[in-house]
Amino acid sequence: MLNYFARRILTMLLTLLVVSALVFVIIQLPEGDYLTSYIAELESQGEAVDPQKIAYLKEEFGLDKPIWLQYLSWIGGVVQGDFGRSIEFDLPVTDVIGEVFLFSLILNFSIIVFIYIVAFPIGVYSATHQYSWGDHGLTFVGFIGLATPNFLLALILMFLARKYFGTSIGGLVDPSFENQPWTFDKILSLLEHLIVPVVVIGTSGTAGMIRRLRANLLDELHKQYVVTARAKGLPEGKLLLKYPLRMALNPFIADIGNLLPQVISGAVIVAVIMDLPTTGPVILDALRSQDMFLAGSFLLFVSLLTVVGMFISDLLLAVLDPRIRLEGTRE
Amino acid sequence: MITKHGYSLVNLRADYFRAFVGFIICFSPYVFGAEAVGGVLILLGCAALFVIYGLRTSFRHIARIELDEHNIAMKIIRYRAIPWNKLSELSLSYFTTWRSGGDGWMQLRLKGAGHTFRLESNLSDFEQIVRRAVSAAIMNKLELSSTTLRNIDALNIRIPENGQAA
Repeated sequence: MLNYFARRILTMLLTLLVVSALVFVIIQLPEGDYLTSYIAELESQGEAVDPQKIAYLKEEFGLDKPIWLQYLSWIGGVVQGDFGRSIEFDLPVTDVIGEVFLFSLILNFSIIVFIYIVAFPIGVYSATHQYSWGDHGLTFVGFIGLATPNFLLALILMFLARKYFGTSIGGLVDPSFENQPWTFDKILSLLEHLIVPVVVIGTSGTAGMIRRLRANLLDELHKQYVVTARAKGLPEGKLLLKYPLRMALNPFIADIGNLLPQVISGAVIVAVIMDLPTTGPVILDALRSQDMFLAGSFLLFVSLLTVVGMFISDLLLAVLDPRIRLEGTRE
Repeated sequence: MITKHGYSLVNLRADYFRAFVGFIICFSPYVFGAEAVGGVLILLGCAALFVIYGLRTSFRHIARIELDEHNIAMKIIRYRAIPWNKLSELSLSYFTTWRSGGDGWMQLRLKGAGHTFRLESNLSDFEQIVRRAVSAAIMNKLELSSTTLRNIDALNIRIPENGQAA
């Protein structure tokens, strides 16, 4: 087991190192840097550019140093929890992300719970009632969910929520609660505003999950051990829960590796359209303005969540599925 | 007849390399003056893991395994032996870090007479040792898990009715 853990951890570390270097280089690939854009913006507004200020900013953010030195300095800070300073906001990265990080966590965690709660019973029903009216109906709804662009659904639901429930458009809390301390009313406002984005972003994920669960469960239900169990008179409910459902759950567990980063970075476009104070729009702006410390830290964190998520899902799969073992069989 | 087996440097160099690279990556932030907080603490924990991994590899490197009709013996620092007739547990596992299941390694775990031996598939004549251990397990009427049976089968070792693994 020590051998297994050492190899996995080494692979994770090397992956993160390579990703961090790639992220840092790719952000800097477009010509110029943040200061170039800043100077151009000032000039376009007809304002004078103070060369001393530019030189100071270059020195302050280390932009005058070679790229490898900038990278080493940044990654050295990251391992100590110092993600650097956002050039655009002139604030530490942790302060910039601050509250939007919390909103992102709440929103995306709600979406994941929504997807699982809705997809699971529908997927099981569709598989156990294959080709019934219910199956056809739910499959149709699932395809609609997959085919409808999120931004379109967002606009329609925002309009309906405004018209029939008086919910303010955009944001995750009512404008009167913005930058206010957390109170019960603010939490209620958050829950009210969560409904539309959760439904909008969750719909496509739900539809995909239903299709996969249905297909996997159908595969399992047609296997010989199920036929044997049924022939021996095992009650249908117990038969379903005992093995086929456990096997069909594998994609849910395997998805953890993809879900963890989504908790932080999911649904950027919808967040922009709905004016959600989540991390998506912040990272989009950081990439556009080449704010490399903000964008780099964010992308590195997403990569970290991906590799950790994959590791957790491997361990959970081994626990859940008796056919998959970290110490298994050589085929 | 006594047969002697060991882990050659060629077979262990990848493990040494992993332990070295892992340790360097995890320990270097601390060497370069990073404070032992947050991620650095986690990295130091990982560095300790790689030190243990490296030590374990070097123990395997100096290990000498001897097989005869009566015993399997291992000498690392001290000599330990499990008489075949005292073998009480045998498991053969396959580990892989790939989801596809390939590029893995096997581990034979033998328990008996108060000792536990863990032998990995980069040991010389690993299959011969497994074959002998399986014969002893059959003689001692040990119950083998389905995973172990499938792995024995994967090594093309047949378990006939008369109890001699072939």
